[in-house]
Amino acid sequence: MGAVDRLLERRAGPWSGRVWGLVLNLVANAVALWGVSSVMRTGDGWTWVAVGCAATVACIAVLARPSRSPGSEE
Amino acid sequence: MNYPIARKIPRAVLDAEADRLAALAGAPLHRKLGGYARLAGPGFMGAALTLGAGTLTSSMLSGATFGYRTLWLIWLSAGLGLFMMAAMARFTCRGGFRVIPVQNRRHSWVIGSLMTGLVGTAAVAVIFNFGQVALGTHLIESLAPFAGFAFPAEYNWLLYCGVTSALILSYGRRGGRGTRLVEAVMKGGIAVMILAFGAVLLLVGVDWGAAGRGFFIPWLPGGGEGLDLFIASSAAAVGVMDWVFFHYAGLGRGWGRRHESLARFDLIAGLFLPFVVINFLMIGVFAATLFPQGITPDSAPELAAALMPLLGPTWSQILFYAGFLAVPITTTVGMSLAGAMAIHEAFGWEPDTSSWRWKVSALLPQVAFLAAWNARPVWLVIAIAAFLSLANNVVGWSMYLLLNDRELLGADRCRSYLWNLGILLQVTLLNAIAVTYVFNRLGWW
Repeated sequence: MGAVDRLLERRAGPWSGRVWGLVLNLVANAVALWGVSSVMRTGDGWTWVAVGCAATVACIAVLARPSRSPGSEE
Repeated sequence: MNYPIARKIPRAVLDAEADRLAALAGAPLHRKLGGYARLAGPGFMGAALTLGAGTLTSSMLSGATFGYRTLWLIWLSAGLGLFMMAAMARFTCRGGFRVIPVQNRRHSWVIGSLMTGLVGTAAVAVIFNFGQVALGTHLIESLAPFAGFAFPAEYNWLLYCGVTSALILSYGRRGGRGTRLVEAVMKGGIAVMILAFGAVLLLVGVDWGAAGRGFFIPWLPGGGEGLDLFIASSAAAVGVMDWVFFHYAGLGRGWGRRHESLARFDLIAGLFLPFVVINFLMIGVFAATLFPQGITPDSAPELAAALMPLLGPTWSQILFYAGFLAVPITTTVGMSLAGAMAIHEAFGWEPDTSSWRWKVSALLPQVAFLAAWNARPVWLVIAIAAFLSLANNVVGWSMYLLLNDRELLGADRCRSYLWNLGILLQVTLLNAIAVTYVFNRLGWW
């Protein structure tokens, strides 16, 4: 089990890392869409789009890791 | 087998089905596919449920407004939905549990009973049935003059509600034969849609070059309209009700560990292919007729009426209306069953299809007979649409978490990066719907 896998399974406060990851993904999606809406309204906001999209891709890439058994070398 | 509807199926019938599945496992591919097609059912029922007035109206509008150019969205949306549906098949076949009580236990009743059961499925069944009844009664009214008499919606709703109620109440009765009857009607409904729309499309002609480009080359209208279309189409084809219905319909058939291959076949042959083919045909018909003329009516009845003069012979008009009538009928039946299952799960009631409680729950969506007089509970539609926009993604999170839950599924949990990736892409699109809904309310979108 790697560090990322441990992070996904570990509880932090009320939720596991996987749930926090889903929340973070939602925030990232909102940032990207906020950027898109700014671009459509004012022409500015590409930075928000880039940050939101990058964070979304990172969240999805990490959350897609299947749950490993403790001590497993899978 | 912990679902009461399946317990009504005689043990001998279930054993015979399991034996047939075992025999098919080593059979040649063509025999295997034929055998699976006969045994499949919940996937076809899912397609019949999903292919309702809303989905088909959206396809008609797409065809009339954009021609063939949005065809690619069909397979993308249905394909993305398959990952979540495969998760539901896993819960049914290997988990063997009933998902809403498990959500209640592991993620709270707000997510299980309320968001998944009562709002995401039961309330949707009632609200969306208004659209089905409005369309169904309108189509009967339009068909009647071809037979030489008038049969207005104000009267024909009795026929519509009578036929659909009889089918709804057949489910789970007579030792599983009622369930097979409903499945056969759903499969027949899909066949009628394909034959009718296919014949009409052949009649009006297809620009195969444009259709091929539209099917394989992504295109969207510019600006916010394009993004809205992409998000709504790609995330909403297969939603919470479809997830719940496929899961419980599988449990109702007594599916277990040995049925997972059949369940996956059912998802592709029963759900994915009919969804893609029927939407393709519908978009094609309107892309070939109304699009070149720049006619873009707003509603399904107006779209169908605008199409009629372009179809030519009377038989083709009858064929189109008859195929179209199968759309609301099968959706009303599927949604009503999904609603009854969800209500029972949400309140912790054991489903007994011969009980009054089941019959009342299953027939609750028939309150939509009021749609025959154009009545529509607008405030309720707005409230449910808002709640759905904000809740669907959270239900999606819950399903993703259950599929990756070691304590719940043990070795049967998701072990595939690709599977999780597909589910997360759909969840992200559902998130996008929730976020754009909030932005819209705030005037930012």
